[in-house]
Amino acid sequence: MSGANDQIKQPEQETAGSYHGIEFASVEPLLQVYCRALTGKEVDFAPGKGSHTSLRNAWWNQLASGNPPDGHIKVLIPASFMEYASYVDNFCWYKAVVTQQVAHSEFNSFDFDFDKESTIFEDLRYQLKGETGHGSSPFEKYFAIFDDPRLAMQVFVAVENVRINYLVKHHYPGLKQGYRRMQEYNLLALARVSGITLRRAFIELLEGLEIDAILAIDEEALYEPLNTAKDVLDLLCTSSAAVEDSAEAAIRIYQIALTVPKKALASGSGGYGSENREPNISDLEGQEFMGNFQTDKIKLDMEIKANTGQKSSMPMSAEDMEKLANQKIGITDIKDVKSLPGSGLSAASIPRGVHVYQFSHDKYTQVDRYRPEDAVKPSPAEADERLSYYDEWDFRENRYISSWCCVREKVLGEGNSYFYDKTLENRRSLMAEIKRQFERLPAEMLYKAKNLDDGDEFDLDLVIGELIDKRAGHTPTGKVYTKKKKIQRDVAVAFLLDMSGSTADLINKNRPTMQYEESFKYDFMKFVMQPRRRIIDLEKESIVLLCQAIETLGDNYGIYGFSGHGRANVQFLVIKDLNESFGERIKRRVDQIAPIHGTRMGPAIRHTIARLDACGSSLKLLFLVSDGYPQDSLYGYDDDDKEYAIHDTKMALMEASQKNITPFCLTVDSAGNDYLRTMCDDIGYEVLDDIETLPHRLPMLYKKLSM
Amino acid sequence: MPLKAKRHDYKSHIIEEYYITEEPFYLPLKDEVALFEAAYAERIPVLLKGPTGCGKTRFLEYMTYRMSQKERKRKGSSGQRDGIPLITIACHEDLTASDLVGKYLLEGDTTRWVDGPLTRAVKSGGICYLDEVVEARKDTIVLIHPLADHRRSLYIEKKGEMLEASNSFILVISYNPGYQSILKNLKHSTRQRFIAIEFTHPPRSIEARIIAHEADVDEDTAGRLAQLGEKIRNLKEQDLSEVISTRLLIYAARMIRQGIPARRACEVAAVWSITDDAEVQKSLKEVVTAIFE
Repeated sequence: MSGANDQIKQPEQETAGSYHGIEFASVEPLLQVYCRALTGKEVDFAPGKGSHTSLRNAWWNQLASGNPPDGHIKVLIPASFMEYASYVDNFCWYKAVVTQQVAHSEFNSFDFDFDKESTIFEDLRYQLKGETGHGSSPFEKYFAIFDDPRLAMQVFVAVENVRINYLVKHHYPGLKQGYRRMQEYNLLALARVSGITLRRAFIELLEGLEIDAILAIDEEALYEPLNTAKDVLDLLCTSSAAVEDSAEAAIRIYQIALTVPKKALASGSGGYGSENREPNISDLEGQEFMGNFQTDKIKLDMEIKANTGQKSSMPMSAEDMEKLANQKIGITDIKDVKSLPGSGLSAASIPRGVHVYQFSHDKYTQVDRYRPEDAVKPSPAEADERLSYYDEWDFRENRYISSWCCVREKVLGEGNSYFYDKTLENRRSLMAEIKRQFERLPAEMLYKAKNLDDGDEFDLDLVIGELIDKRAGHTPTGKVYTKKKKIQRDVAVAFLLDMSGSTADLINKNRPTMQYEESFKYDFMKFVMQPRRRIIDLEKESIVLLCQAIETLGDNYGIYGFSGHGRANVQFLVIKDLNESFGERIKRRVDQIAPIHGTRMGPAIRHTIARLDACGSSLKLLFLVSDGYPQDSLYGYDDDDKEYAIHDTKMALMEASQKNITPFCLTVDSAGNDYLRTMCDDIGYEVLDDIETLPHRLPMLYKKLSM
Repeated sequence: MPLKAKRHDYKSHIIEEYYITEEPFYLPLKDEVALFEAAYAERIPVLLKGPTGCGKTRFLEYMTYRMSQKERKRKGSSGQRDGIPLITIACHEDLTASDLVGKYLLEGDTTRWVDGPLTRAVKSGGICYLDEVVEARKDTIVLIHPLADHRRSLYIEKKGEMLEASNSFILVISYNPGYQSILKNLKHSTRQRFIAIEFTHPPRSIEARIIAHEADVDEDTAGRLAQLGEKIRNLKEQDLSEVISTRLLIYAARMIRQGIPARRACEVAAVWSITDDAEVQKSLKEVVTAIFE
């Protein structure tokens, strides 16, 4: 298949013939940026199970649930997909599905304006609008003009999908093939549905008309209404069509739909109906198919009609019906239509069986020195993990234990940027002060270069020398200039953040509690409103301020968190990698910094050293920010072997020094002096007596060390 | 067999004799033409702000042409030399005051003074354009201060001279705010000597016309490239520190005109040129493959 063929590289496994399915998580970052480019908006993927109908109509469900995508677009997507024979085809399906969903935002499905005129059709909305044509939202007003708002809603969603499908293919011709395949896939799924009514089949097939892949359901009663609807939809399929045009087209097709009986589709009508008759009718009729537009008025209206059979106060008039009928533009030969069942459904698009798909964790193994006989067997790496193995220092035996620890590196997940932005807002004055301090850092050191052909000024000594040479009969070199030259600031720094469980401790936990009556003596609201912050929260705040400050300098910096549970599971979480540019993604990762397990510092430091060592910077710094001494499951000869853990950490810090990396330890543990003296030896460290000073102190220490 | 003299096709101009003789193609986005004309009439220095490749330099060439036409009309002359020369100085971090004003060179037993481009612009009454001015060191840029206020004069310290600028002289500087940082920013004392005209990337329809004209490609190709530009620019700040310029889109169009397949042309001109981040490159390629068949 062409299209993305030449772009998407198939993983190695496929060439081995073992799998071709895709876990969405593996392509999510790629499609996230892709969707952001298409729409300019943030996209929240909601991986999970979803039928083809719920995927197509996810946009409507988002709108109907009262969450139109003002800032974020929610995209419903299956967590895995393996229906096609190749990785590329499966990826193209994913790409088409996400494009279809975000296209509703790009092409303004959500911006329906009841009072805006259609540019393609004569506006019937205003003519039909009567006493019921009112509502708090444009959609509410719109659906209130119909006798059967639910049917109108289903027709409108289908018609709007047709418009969007056309626009996607018009604006993104490179997607055509994959997109069409997705549409065919939807039709195939429809063909497997049992118990569907003729009217619902009519609505479902509206989208099939647009790709001429007519009649997955071989039902003669649908031919005429579908062909009449096709004439309306053909008018809609132009590059200038807007959602208001869809609304007008939907009015016309609604009238056609009313002529289609609600009887059940004859058994066996489904083109491929003999096998796998799932999902059943509830998928199409129920909530999954399409969220009801949840306005009280519409619901009430529907309830009244269901109970009493009462007509809406504003049905379509006979005149309107006649007008609609007159707009039929010729009907295609039914035989032609009938001769096409399944014609658009290529063999390749027919779903195949389930294929086994598993990730290999071996390919990410960086170091193969791990000795299985020594190891606590690590659980297999997750898809997004990278495994590295490091030695550990046993001070009692005075030797390294080879490949003893397994570091599992992964990029920290993303939350939202609220914490980041809020911190900047709350710490505005501190941030301004830090920035001012950083601005004073010399970005460059000047030195005077001499003996230049050209420069800022003459060097008197050289000029005199030249004149003397000339008088002596030698050819002057002309190199009599000096020039101030710069030595650029060239710093790489890695911040290693303790994310052990103990960082969940509350900062103000020792504050005496106050009796209710007593609190009135003080500023009660201030007391109760003061957030019960944890150590990790202050660490996060410090990181926010650091990022802002270092960004102004342009230094290369990385921020990593570490924790773990035993030597086989040292978690190394990338919040911001060295050389990675700062952006919204980093802000959202900061939000996810949270306490996890233990504090096995040695391997985390060694892994950071490896990172820094790969940098070519002239000044390399490693900042370790912790809340206590190193402690982890069996970090030593038993769980409580502090001495072992401290010595291993000390050795790791010394390894940093040997690689010309300047380590520095900052702890918020007031008892830190006791062990840091041993652990850091002649390495710089600081114990913060007042943890509240961390957000201020950390950037300042960095400034001092990087000068 | 006598050797034929090689025919050179380059043109050499003395710096203060570079005139824009043909009208450059420029599509106004807002009221920038009227703003510049007003500023020039009042001899107010102009700061052009905008992302790289958005048309700042082209705009100045266009305005120089227009101003020259007016000047000739005023003088009732059609001679090229009656126009206004455009003197462009590309700023960089090693640009010194001597590079701008002039310096003494050794000549025999003595030294000889040679005017720098700024001095020559002041004397000849040209439009002096300091491109990417933030790249120059702040202590260097300070010397333009007397030229950019009511004094309109240039002090040549080494010669002990003060030059009053010719009547038609005007100073124009440009920079890209995207590079803005504490290390590369204009001093306030410099900024406040200029009126600022802001440029952005043109909207899709105008950008398509520009691409079609500059690269001589069909409307559909130009339109799709403009669409690509618009999509890539949605990634500013988050995924890309600097987004794609109109110039790069034109390059892509030219590659296409030369027969390179559109997807490949966009890959080399519009994806690899703007980011080294492999993940973002992959996503951009997906955008390219969506837009181009």
